[in-house]
Amino acid sequence: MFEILIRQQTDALRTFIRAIAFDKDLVDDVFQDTIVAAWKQIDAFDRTRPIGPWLRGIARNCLLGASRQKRRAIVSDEVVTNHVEKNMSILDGDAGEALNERTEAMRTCMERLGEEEREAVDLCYKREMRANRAAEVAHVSHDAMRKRLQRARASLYECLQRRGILEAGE
Amino acid sequence: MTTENIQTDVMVDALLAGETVLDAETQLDPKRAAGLLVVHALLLRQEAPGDALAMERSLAGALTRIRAEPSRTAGRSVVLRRVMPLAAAILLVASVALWWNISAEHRAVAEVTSTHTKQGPRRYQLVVQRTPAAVPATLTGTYDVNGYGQFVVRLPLPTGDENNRVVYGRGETDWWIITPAGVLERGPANDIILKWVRAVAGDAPFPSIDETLSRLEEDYDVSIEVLPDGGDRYHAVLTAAIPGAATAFELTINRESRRVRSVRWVWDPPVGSIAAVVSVAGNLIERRPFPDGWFEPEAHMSASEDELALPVSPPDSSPALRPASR
Repeated sequence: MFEILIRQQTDALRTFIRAIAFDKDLVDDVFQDTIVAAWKQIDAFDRTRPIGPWLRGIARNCLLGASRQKRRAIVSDEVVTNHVEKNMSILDGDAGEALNERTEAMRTCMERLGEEEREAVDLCYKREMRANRAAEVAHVSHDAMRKRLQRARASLYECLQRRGILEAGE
Repeated sequence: MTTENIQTDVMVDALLAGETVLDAETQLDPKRAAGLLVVHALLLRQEAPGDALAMERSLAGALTRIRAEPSRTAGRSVVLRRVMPLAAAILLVASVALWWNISAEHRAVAEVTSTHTKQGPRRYQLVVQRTPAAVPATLTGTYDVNGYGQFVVRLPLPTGDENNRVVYGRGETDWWIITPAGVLERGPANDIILKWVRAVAGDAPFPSIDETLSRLEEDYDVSIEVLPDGGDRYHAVLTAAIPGAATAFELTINRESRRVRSVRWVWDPPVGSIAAVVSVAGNLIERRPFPDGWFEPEAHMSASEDELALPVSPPDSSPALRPASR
């Protein structure tokens, strides 16, 4: 039963860890540690509350523990992490509403990217190239490719904000 | 975009590239930084094929770790029996209710998907059936897989030339392919698929058993046929609009061990522009450990066809090893 509950949350949990962990090699380890820790603490979980924030709290602790072990910062600072948590709470949406549905808006926002930004996303995310390799393929400088990626992320961020999918600005 | 925003973007970009870290002293807008980091994570989730595979593997690893802790399970049942705190009781009731709300088919599929990563190393005979206009209409090859998404496929080119095979797979870290010219290429899944795999299978997106199992619950309407020989056959019909996905999927497993005996993907209408593929079938023919490094390309680079063939296992009539009749 625990497995069914967890499978409903894996997407959102991994998205959260991905957003706050700067050491990408750690994402898998922390994801696993979080699930195992949640299983061990499941008796303490208040069923009247949503499970997403509870899991993310465990993930934060796991990441902090890993950060202390590595003796360097591998997690975004607390203020940024709190904002990431706010965004994830918005993405959680109403009970039972899947992350997939909530992020359908992402696809719409992607369609509105300029050609260069879409190419940058395609090369660096879809085809999983590093920025320098993507720059070679697109015949632009490394800096230009990074700028395109930045513009793409900024554009998506603002688009999702407007649609209420991410935390609103001031 | 303000100067501050540009600075934030540069900082986030550097963070994502692993070049520096964010500290509390940074005079940047934390809300924007958080938003950009979430966008980055959503892009990985939505666009990067490797990320989904990594998640599935991590989840399987976590569940394996949990199952390896029987002592705690036993201890908890004692606590429940003796004390039964209210929260635990609520959880138990809610869990049972949730379980009943799930159809028998999906419950069974959940069991299969949760155990498929423990099936161990297996070899399947592959049969690619194409439209009658294709010559040859049938291509045969092998599909070696272990429990964690690593696999090796060996297939002839669409021309059917048995001496002109392509070998490709996914190892510990990435996809690779040895082209008919004997050249090794590594790269992201999409590069490999676009350049070679579709060409090999006649433009059909070649599916992975483990990945299909992972998607069964979400994308297919599933029914179960109980077989008299101790097996269960799952009939799945695609309900989601997924370009290139098989329109039907059939999976036969051993009821007791949950091991996959056979699989068959069907495309109706056939998929592919040139030599359209009607179906791809895999029948379990061998179950034994592969040599070290089998899922890495080096094991397949210089070996001849004879060297690549694994020793044949002694005949085994157990249901787990018998290909499903059809």
